Amino acid sequence: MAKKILDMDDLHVSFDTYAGVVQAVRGVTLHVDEGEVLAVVGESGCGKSVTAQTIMKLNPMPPARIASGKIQLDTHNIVKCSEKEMQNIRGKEVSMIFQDPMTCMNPTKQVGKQIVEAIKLHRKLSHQEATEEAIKCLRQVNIPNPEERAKQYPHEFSGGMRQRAMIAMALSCNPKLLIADEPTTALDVTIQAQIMELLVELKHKINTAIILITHDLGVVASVADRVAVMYAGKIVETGSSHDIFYRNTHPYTQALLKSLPSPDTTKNIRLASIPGTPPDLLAPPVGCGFAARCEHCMGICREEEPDEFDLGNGHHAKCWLLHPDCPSVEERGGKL
Amino acid sequence: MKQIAKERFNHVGQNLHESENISRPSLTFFQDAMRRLVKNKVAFVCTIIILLMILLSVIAPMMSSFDFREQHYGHSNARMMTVCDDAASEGCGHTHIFGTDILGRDIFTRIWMGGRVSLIIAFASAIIDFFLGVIYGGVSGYFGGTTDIIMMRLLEIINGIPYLIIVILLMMIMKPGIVTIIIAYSLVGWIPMARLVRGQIVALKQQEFVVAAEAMGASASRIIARHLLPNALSVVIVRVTLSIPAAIFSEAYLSYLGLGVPLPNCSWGSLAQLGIENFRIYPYQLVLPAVCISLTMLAFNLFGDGLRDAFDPRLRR
Amino acid sequence: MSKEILVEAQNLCKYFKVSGGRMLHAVENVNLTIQKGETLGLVGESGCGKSTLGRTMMGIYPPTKGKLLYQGKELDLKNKKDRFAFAKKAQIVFQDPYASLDTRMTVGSIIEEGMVIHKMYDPAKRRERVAELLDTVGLNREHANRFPHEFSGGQRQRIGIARAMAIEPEFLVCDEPISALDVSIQAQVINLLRDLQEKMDLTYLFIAHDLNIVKYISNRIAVMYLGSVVELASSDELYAHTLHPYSLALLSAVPVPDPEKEMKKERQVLSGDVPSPINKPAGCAFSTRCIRVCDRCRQETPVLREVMPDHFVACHLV
Repeated sequence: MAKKILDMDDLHVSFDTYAGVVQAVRGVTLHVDEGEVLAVVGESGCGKSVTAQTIMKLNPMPPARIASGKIQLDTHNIVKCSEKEMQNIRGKEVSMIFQDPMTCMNPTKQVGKQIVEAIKLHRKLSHQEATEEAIKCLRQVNIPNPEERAKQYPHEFSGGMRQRAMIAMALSCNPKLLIADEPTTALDVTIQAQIMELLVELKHKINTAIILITHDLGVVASVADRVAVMYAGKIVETGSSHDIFYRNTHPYTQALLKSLPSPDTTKNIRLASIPGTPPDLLAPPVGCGFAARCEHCMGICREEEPDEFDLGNGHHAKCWLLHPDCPSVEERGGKL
Repeated sequence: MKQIAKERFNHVGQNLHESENISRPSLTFFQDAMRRLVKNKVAFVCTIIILLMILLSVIAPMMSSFDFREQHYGHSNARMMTVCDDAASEGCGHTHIFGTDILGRDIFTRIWMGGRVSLIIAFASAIIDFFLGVIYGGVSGYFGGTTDIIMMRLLEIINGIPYLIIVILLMMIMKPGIVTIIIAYSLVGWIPMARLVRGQIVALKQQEFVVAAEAMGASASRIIARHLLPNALSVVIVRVTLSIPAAIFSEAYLSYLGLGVPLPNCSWGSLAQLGIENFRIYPYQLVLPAVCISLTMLAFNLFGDGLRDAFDPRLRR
Repeated sequence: MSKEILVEAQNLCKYFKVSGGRMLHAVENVNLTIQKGETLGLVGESGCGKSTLGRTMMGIYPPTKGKLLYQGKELDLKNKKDRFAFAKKAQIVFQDPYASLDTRMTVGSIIEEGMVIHKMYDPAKRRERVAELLDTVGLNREHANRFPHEFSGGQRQRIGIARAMAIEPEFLVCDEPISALDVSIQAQVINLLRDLQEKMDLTYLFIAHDLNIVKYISNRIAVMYLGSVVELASSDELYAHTLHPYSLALLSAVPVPDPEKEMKKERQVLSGDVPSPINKPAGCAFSTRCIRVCDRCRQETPVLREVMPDHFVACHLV
């Protein structure tokens, strides 16, 4: 039985803004086991980044606020941790890599020194030992000539190499959980392939759990073990990678997959786009968040939020179509 | 699993009009900035102070029972809150709220007359600053290349001439007075504004919406007037607000050196200069104009800071 | 789609001066034709010059060397009148929906601006057209009085398309119009672009780095690397018979949203990074990363030549 590294239960995060309260995360429950890769997929504004940042309490606490819920990271109860306790946890138990490595590294410090700084903060090593450890980390992410590279500055690294350096920094203290927030979005396709290959290699070598946040379903397909699909602040479907790609049940997941052209899509087929835009979370809709854009929308979808239905083997979805009382398409008056 | 009635499952379909709605009220950039400014307590207090200064400068001399030139020989260097008993004066029986100076003139009236002069000089200089700086910087920034290089080098040459020398030369040619001081300050005061505007324009020129306008076939004047200047405006307004205290201080400094408005006209600077002679015995004669200068400058500076924060899109919540 | 050539680039070069007095050869000797009514896809990674080529072909940048022909006539982009007339015929949709709209103007004024500049219609008819355009791109008519910052990325991109359409151009350059958008919104914008092309008989130069989308929307695809076109073929042909080593690596690097296919895929991962366009390698630009590189590649720059009917490659080893 795999050990649970992260257990998030019914998390609600809100932001107090001038126009009112924005409910960015509206009840997210997820878990990550040791050594597995969980991909959190969704579009901008769905709350995936906020969820991830809340695990490390990186959101400034006003205006952000954890309205309710529990986050258990290994032995730590994150919601109840003080800022001082969080500083010990960040970098050591959980670390994060971001979309733009250039803005996340100090441009005036050598890369090697930045990694050493991270190491000395959490591990009791001498300066010499920490420097050797830093070079080892750079080698682990396949940066050629790590001894020379450690003495260079971030601007001397190319985009792909900077991302590797950031991964090295994040893994330098052997965290149990690595959160990767859109790590390949800003990279070229060929460099993205390199980074994805690296993440898969690391997954096998060091057994760190990874939460991969992305909107690119191709990246998800090549790396993830389990997938959680988010929409309008909630998780609408979650399951293994095969469940989500081949046995999906939620209309949003299905629409998302249908809107991606593959090399086999012929030109005379119209791309199945999802019309409309996600709802404004300042005034979230009463029923299902996807109702306004869903072609299967029913009366109940507008009135009440769907319950979570268990489809077996860890595959869950929140949709009224899965309710046992739901009649067939013809009976409802809908179209296929 | 609870039972659910069949009717609730009736097909309803998409509602796209609703999903394209924008629920927040429409705010222009300026409206949003003003809202944020009002919330900033420090800026709010400073606005009150500035308005108070302006109000007092306009109204107080009119309402005062003393004229600013009126001398009361028996009552020179009177302390604050002394009652006037000069039978010849109209203000007999009224209080000298701020006392009198060495020639018996009511300081309260003079402070606010001085306020008029100082504030007029400051606002006029700021406005001239604005127009000269925006036009020069706008043209230089937009056209770039050789035009920009020549205009900027010219700017640096003018900037290199010491300010005080220009003022003294002007004083020799023209009669000392408000207009002279305004011209003196404006001759070099617009330079920082021109540099700022040029910098803004150069940065904005590369933004895609400007490229889009050029691709559409827009003329240079249209791009400068409709796209570049409105977007540079917030920075310019902040700069204007901050150049006002610079002008006030400049006037005070000139008056202190004796290059300011001639007697009996007064400005805060000239009052300070008069006050320093007897500072040890009659401190209020220096302290009062100094406080006015300092308070006004501080208020404008903090107001300008608040304005800059209000305009900064990154601080928007 | 007729066989009439609308836009043609002949030995087109675009160089920029960079600090230190060096020249950045962003586009080097490109020969391309675009037929009326077709969509030519242009793919490549950062630094390959595809954006620069697109902008040069619709008049934003005057070419440094070479010729640009429109409807068979050579364009002199330094002549103001010619440029102005060309602006009405060739327009562009930008990548960044946040930077490409002036945040100080209302949506209605943004869309109307082109018509004002080219003195089209009277004010009442212009407002009418703005409302029509908002409808066509799938936004509400009331949005004309709102400001860009109130809209999402996808909506802003649609506003950008409406702006380009307002002056009724014939040739549209789409410079990575969907890269900054979410997946489900990308499909909306692609469908919109296709509908507009059919309705108004437009010709597109579609620049993107997402190969799946480019294959879907383009008739032909040109692959660029460090300023030159390395392969040019119809989209089906390019996928069926990929010839240039770079194209092979590019196509295999694109992840497909299908876990089984991903597991079985033979991926060709390129080593090293893209060289800087300021210091181009001698000979073939791809020689530093090519797995099949030989001595001739390092010395002689390959020329784009037809190796199969309508399939052009610039490689010595093909």
